[in-house]
Amino acid sequence: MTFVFGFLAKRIYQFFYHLGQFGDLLWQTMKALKDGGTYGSLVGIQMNRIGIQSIPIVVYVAAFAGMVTAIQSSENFDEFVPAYLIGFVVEKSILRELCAVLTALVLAGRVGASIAAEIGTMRVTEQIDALETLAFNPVSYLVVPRVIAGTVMFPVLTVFAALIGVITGWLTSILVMDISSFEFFKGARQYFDTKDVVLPLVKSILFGLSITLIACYQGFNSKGGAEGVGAAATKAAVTSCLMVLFLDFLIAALILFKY
Amino acid sequence: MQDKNGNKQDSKMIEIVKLWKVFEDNEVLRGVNLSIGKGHTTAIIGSSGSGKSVLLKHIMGLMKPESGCVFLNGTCVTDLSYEQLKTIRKKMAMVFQGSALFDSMTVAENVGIGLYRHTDLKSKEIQKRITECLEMVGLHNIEKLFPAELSGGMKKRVAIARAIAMRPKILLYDEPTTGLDPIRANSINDLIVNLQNHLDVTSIVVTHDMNSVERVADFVAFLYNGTIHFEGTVKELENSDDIVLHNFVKGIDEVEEVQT
Repeated sequence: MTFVFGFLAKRIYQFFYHLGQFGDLLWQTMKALKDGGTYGSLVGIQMNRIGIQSIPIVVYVAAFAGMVTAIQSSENFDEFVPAYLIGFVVEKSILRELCAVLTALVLAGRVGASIAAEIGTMRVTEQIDALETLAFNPVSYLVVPRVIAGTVMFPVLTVFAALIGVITGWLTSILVMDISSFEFFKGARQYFDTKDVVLPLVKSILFGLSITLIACYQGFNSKGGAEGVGAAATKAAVTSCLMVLFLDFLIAALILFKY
Repeated sequence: MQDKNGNKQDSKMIEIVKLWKVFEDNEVLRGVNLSIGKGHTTAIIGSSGSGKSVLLKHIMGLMKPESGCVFLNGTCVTDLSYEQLKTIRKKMAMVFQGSALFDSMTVAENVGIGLYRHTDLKSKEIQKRITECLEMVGLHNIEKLFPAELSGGMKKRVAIARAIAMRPKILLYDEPTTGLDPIRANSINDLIVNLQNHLDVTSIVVTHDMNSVERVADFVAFLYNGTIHFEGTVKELENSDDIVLHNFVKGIDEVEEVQT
């Protein structure tokens, strides 16, 4: 029994310790925003790595999400449900939920693990210490460009995913399920509202911010050698995924219940 | 105290006072007191894990002590804000044990990174300074290579070139010859002496390589059990009859000696 309490107490202490440290990194990142001379030229490089290079995987995921949503909804509809509602289901599912969440979950693995491994390797090989000795602020140099790139590029990728998802959902509907384009877009347009745009954009901005910051935090706290870097990459991917799901719930609850 | 050339260590550049550092339950530094004279090379020796690199990182302000202070020209580094520390670091440089070159940058970018950010030099002047620094460490036409394409000895040299690029007043070397064959190690030792003669810097070399100590150091400090056990010139080190120091220099294991 004592062992269980001891274990729980240690885990709770660790949780709040890391929460405090993470909050400190967020504060340091905000303070470092004024250090534009250090990170200015690096933001474009990170936008390319985080955003442009992620386009193929985002297209792949969004395309299949659109196709599956169309097939699933049509399979569940019978003669009493009008066919044009497939357009409504595809539009709502893709825009409100899938485009932002699926993109974020995939990028939590691709981007999160990559950032944590890169910064973690720099930590264990003393490259971060070297940056400090050269009078650089490591947060300005490493964290800020990645966080800015993530916060800017995640919404762009999400818009991209939404377009691809709706297009593949529409193509699947007209080619496989014998529904006309007119019917599909009638359903899609009829129940469309501004929240369908605001919700994924707000989500994706927060997902981009949290995934890049979590990955940087895990990288900065890497210890040991290759094993430590591997552990940091794993923790970054897993924690980012959990954070995405938590934020998804939180934002949906705040925006949809309140307004 | 006089160095091997008969020069007195009169002007104190760095003064370490009662420095304590604890990692969990391990007291690595237990009240270290040490003075480093201006314009000289001081070797800090000690066995692996004795806290030599930790001491060096405190001098650079990379670590905060539990108590005590490192004074640089009379300013306590441990009390400084991050911005003040950045200003001081522009006058200091450190060569890391594993070189710590930035993997994603070319040799030229590694050497010039501080110049591009912290000076008003034009791009052409920076390129010229990079080439000069690389030539000073005996490297030519490698500006476009990446660290992964270099040998261990070349990486050390590039790390030294990066360290001297900003014309520092204090140069810290962490195990500069570790992992190199005797010929490469000697060439690094000669390089440290040459840079000392040309740049007139205050150097601290952390090492456990006694050959390196004899070649580069004016003064030696022996770190043992978290304190400075011996402080003196290389000649005084050789003439010392201290048994702990003698055992370390000769590579005699104290436990084995007691058993025999």
